Amino acid sequence: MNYKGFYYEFQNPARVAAGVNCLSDSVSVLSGLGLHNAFFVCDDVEKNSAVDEVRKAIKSAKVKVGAMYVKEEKIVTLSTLREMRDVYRVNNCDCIVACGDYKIVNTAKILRMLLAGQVVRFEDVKGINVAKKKVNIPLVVVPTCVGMSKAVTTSALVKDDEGSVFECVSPLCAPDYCIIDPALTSVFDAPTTIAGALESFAMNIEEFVSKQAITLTKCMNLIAIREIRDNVFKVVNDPMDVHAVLGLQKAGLLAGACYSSASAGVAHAIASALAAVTGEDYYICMGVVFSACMKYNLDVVEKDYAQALYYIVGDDRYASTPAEDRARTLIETSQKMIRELFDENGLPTSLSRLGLKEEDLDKAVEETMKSYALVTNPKNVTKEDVYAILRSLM
Amino acid sequence: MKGKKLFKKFVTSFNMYFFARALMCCFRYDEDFRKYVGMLPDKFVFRMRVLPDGATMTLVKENGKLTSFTGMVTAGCHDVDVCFKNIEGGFAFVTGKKSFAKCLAQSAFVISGDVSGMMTVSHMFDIVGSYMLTKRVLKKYDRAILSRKAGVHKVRFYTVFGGSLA
Amino acid sequence: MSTFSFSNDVKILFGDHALDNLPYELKEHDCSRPLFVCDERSYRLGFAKEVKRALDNDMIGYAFFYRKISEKASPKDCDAIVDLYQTYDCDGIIALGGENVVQSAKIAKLMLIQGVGDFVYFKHKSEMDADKGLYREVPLFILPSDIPSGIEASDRAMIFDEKNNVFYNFNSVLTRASAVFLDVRLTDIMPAKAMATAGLGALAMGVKGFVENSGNPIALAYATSAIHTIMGELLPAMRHNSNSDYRISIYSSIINAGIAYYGIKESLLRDIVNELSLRTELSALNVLSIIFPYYYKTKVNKDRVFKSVLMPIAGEEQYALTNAKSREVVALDKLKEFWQKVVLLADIPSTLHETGIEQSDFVKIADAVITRYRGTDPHNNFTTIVHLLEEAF
Repeated sequence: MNYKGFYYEFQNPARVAAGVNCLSDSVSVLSGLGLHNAFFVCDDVEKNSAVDEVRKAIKSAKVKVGAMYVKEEKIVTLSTLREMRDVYRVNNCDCIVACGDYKIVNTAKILRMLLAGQVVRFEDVKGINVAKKKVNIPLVVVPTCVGMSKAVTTSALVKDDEGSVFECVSPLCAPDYCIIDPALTSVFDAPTTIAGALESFAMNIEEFVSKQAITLTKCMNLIAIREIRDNVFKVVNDPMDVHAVLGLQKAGLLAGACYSSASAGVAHAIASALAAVTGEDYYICMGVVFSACMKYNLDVVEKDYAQALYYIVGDDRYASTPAEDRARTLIETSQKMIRELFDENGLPTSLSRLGLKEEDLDKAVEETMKSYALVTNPKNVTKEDVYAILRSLM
Repeated sequence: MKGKKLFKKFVTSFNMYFFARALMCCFRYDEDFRKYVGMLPDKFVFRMRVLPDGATMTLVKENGKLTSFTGMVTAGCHDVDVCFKNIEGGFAFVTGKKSFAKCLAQSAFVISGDVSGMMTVSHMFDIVGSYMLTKRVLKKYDRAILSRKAGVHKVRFYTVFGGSLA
Repeated sequence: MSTFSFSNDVKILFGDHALDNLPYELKEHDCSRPLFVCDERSYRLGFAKEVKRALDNDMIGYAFFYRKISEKASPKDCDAIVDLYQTYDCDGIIALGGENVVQSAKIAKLMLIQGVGDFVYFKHKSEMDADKGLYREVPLFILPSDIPSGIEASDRAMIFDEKNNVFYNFNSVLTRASAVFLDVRLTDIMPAKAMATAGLGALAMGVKGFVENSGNPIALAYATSAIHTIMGELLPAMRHNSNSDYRISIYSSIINAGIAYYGIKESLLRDIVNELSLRTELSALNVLSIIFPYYYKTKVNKDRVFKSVLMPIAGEEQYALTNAKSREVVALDKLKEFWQKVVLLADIPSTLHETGIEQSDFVKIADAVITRYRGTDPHNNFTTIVHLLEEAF
């Protein structure tokens, strides 16, 4: 490796506990975080038995559930945040506990940012590092679905009153403690799980080839890719296989841990833009665009793709694939895997099925060009390149 | 100028002055650059400075027109604030050794503000870099080589001798 | 079922001009009156001057500069740091130097947070899980100037109290540094011998971290990256020891290996190494570099995870081409082959005999280790330790 002019900073902000029944083991840690009166954010209580489990654990850590907030929105809106902030204040809460899928964790992150930064105007949270920490408000997250690569990252999304989606990046978004217990992943929804697993696969590949990747983050990504290979089909066949579910959750966690250091690439940028334009889930958009983006980057990251192939296909196929074909084989295998899993679960595999119209293309490209992730893509991305990628998927 | 590394501090201030002028020159002559400026909201203020008290550059879009200058408008009155953590980062940027994107990726500066505005400015800086630096230098430092819509010599000439460009 | 927990938020700043970010990090932690501690060696080699220059550039001062940390960390040093910190009303610590400075500063930080004014407080509390504290913020910035020991970014701090003959082993988040800076300007050309022992020691830490952390993907990644870097860059680093790029990459792998290795809760190997280190005056990395091939020889066919270590050692190609059943044997062979190559090239000790340890001391050593060992593995007993020491002799 050439270290001339090389510089990196690495910090893994999250404190993580993972494993079956780790929730009950985490009680001592929860007591040590100085929580007293928790503001509990969760999704549908009746469908999600994990919520009860988490509440019990909080109570046994001698933390009162001061208020409970149940609301599901794909991307949290400012009006919801206003409402939540008021409930939090009225009930004198001093910490936030989030239990649910990506939407819930995202909501809790933004809320923590607002409260910890004592922000009055909502404009003051949009963007990078806008809110500064003024009060300590611990945030504990308990993800209950697979592929939560965003659970431990420092970024979150928010929708303003006009319906525009903004990304917020701040250390205040990173949770203080993340509990991953596969036994809590009781709400099994096949398409969401598949899309989540494939999204963390895509994120890991993007981080692996990112301009800012270092040996350490690359190792994390490869371990995550292996976990996905070993477990994704097991989960499809047996959704109650807790070992396999934990494997997928670990993969998501690793993608999240590398995100603040290695960042992502063009696929993440396009998928976020498509999610904003079409209103579809980010995970699904990622699955649709990922293979095309891999092809786009191929000429500059061929060696990395060839290395990653091993972690997807295993010993025999890797050894039997000629070295010069390995990168292409990775792309083909990934494409096949995504297509098969998406088709089986009735998820869209093209932009037209995703609901993107020809007239929305310009908007999607414009949104893509605004993404922070383009900076670390291995290739310098131009508008024309994004058009070409999107057109190939129409 | 206090502290040490006076040479680097001087070069950074000097280059930043011409960088600000180059931004306005590109706005006048380059079509792509103007498109990016068009994407910025009106009354958009971008500030770039070198910590602790190094050179500062401000870029303002008002009534569709771009103005950039060294120095700042009012403290705190900006949409995007870019602070180089130390003179080394600022020096590498203004001398063309590192692109804005590379500085960002390597945490050479801290940013606060609007993500999309910052990315638009980053594309604008790439255009300016492609005019101010030779293709050989751009290749050497692994920077984006963009097509130059206006004459390179014209942009360079007006950057240096163009009088008041605002 | 693999259950794991991981927490390490130490910021690692590595590479060109990393030191120039020290003022920024100080400000980020609201630290305007840091206590600057270093040892005589770092001062004489001019590293302290480099740090002062970096602070001067940003016009940041320090409350007090203390350079009298002894060559081997002692409770006296910790007390001195605590005293100075309180006397000069400091709000952070900059620790520049080798293992001695790092250990003293980490323990001083623990004392300050817990409001302990004198090291005597820790007497009879040799194993500390001391997470209880007043939670006073004491930012600690570590700038390794010698070869790192691996403990810098970990939650451990160890110190030997010669006066009372007690070995203190602290394992607490309160000893954790805020940031670790690895900058070429703070390193000096190392003789190939020193580089070889440090590299092999880090490799040993990495392999141990890899084997013990198979269920913890984050720690596993730290170990994997360390093994990978050392296998690829130790020999070039020894051959071109004036090349600062190789040097700094080996140093960063030591830090990574340390995070994985010192994160293991109980380890017999670590206890043996600490005991031998105390008796021989050699650093833990030196002892590890001698002992680890013998240690793993006893582990093959017992440790299922060991076969996976072939991947970072030999790479994907070799791993895929090796029969699954023989992977652990191949891994050990590769490790030994690499070890022998390094030992021959640098002419470093390869047996305990060469370090001056007497065979008659083995019983005493094993006795001390087994008293300290808190693990539950029945295979780790007195006989195993004596057997290992005899093998390595």
